[in-house]
Amino acid sequence: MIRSTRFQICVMLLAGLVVSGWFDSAAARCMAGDISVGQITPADAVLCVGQRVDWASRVCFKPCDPNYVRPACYWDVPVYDEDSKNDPEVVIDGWCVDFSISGPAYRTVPGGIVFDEPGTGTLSAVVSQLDPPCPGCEDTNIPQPTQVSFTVIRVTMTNPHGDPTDSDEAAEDANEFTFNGANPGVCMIECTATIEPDNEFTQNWAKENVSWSISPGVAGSNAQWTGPNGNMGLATALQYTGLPASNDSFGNDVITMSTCTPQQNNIQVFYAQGAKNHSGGDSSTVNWHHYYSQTPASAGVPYDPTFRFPNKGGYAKWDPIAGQWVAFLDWGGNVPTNRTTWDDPAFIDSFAWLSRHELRHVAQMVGFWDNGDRVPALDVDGDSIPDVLESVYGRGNYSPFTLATYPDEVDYGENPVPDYEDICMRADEAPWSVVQLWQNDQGSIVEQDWANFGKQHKL
Amino acid sequence: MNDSCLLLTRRFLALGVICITPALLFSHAASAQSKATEFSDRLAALRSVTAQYRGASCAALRAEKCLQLLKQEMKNPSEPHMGTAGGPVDTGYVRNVIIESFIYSAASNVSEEERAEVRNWVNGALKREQDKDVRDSLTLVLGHSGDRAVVPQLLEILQNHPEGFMRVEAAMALYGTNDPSSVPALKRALNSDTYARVRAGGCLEAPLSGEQMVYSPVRAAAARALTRLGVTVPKGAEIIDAKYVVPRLEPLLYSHGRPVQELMFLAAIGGTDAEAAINRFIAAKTTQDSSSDMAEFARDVLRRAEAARAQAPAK
Repeated sequence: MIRSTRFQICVMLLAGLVVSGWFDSAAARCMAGDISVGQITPADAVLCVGQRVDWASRVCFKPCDPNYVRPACYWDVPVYDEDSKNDPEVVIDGWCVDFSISGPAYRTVPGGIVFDEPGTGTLSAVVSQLDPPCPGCEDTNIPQPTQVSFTVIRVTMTNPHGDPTDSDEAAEDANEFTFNGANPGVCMIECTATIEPDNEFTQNWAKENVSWSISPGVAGSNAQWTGPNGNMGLATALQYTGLPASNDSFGNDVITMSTCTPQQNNIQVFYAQGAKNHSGGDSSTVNWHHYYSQTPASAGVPYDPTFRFPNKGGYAKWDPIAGQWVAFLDWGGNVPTNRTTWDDPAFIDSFAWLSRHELRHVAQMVGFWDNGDRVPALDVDGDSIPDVLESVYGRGNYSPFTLATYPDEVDYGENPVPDYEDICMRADEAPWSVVQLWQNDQGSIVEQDWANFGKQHKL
Repeated sequence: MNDSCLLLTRRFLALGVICITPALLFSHAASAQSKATEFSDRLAALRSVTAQYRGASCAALRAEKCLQLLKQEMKNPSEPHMGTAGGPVDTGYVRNVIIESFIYSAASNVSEEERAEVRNWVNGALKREQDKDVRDSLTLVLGHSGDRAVVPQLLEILQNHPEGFMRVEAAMALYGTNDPSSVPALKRALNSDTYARVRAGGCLEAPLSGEQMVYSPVRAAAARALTRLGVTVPKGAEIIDAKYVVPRLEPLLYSHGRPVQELMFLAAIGGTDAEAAINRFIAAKTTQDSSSDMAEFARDVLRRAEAARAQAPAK
């Protein structure tokens, strides 16, 4: 006998399957208990597509030698395919068992077999010889057939799916999840899978054998699995209620579907940028400002909840009560600016740029007006620059009689650009700038932008 | 190049600032050609030129560099986008900026010497340039320099040029010439020109109301020129109906995937036309791209704008 291919098969036998009497009868012919089908349970009825299955770990043959000391269930039953892979044999310590499989196609792999397609099938086995025969078991050389039925299933995670970091927009709703604008905010992560073959048995099997989990999850938010069987089964959803306090709680997570073949999918969790349902205790502040302020992009510029139209992003003003110049960001403080002088910042970079830009206004106004309010009598053209300074400050030669002296070379979007804006924007550029205020797309910052819309949402 | 300009150049070189040769001057533009925002390169190059060639001593060099940029813009127009201030920054806008950068007519240091330098250079350029658009642009530069000899051409452009941005520039140039003969045409422009833009107000001003956002830069420039000529112009004469700007803004909604700013400005402008444009956008997004969240964002913006208007104090 040429024994060239060794493999092991794991068979989980179908509940209610037919284990027609061969094994038992073979055992009877031999020595009671010396050869038998062992450890067959309903759960063993299922094989999984694509997974190497180990014969001996599931269908066990006890050695006929009562004194045999190996474990009753072998893990290393040598299996040989003498003629071809379609007619393998199993040799169990002297027992040689021919078997064949009808139903789904399979292939042998080192140490086992693999079913590549789902379906139902039967496994037929025949004890063909004893080599050497064990004492008292000679009659077991008589071939005796048996059959076991099995189901090969395929469980496929359908949601979440796709890569949240790629540009496949069609899949992004299935891997990017956002807390809604309600208070408390709710984020639903739909988890679904399909099973083949799809029938009552496999559906019921899935209720007990398909489970879902998330790691690390949204810390600080209340998590609940809302499916009919909790986190079990082919369809459920993970509901988070209440936005977390920390920006770090958003972002990358992994959904795992645990079943015969565990599957995982990366997801990302976001907050609605314009909503005001963060857990920071200040319901007047929009989410993007609350969470961006926890990152190095922040320059400490507060948020003005007044709904201002049109959006400007931010502004600086003299606060007569506090007696100082102050800067604010407003509703548009995270909107992409399309500003060439800042290399088109967006979202968290807009926030960073605008924060620093408004603080620059503050610093300039403090300098222009000796830390006081503007004096109209000293500013004929109303450009917020004292007339006596217009010809000497910054790039210089601003007209004291013209609100907007220069054309909009700084891509402000209004031509000519008001002097106070030109003077502030120019301060970002050589040869007037001293240091760059901000650099777009700083990796560590971009990776902390979990706003929807934001740097990482729907890439 | 005179001595002071050479000195300036040496200073820039000493500081490690690349300048002077066009190839190096536009190196940034060349390196960034893969970016979709062509205007970035153009305006960056313009800033580089105007930062290096400042003052009367460099006026001719600056004008030469500006003309090169103008021709590049005409040959390869900037793609339109929405500026921070709310209006479309398109090739016309960029050409306006370049034309005005030949000479900063409003700057306090533009001496008669510098104006004369620019005039001389432009007159020389006009002898060699044949393209009408280029010649018209150079005529506008002459107007900015205060050359009254070109007033008839400026009036022709103001009254008849089909491109709004050229009419804007003509009105601004007529401010430079300050010629009383231009008053009737400026008045007509003040009352009738419908070339429209949007402005958001600056970082130090109170927010504008929607009605104040849409204005005609032609009317604004005409008002300024008329005021200099002693003509009283009513406040707000540059404000025009929002309907004139919506057709310019609406295409920008479809120019990229996330027209957040475009939607916000249209909503802020308000009115029948702007809201209809947003609703068309919502319908298009809903039917063409069901996975897009821009439709919901657009609805949200509309709701917020309506709420803001409802809260606004009565006038």
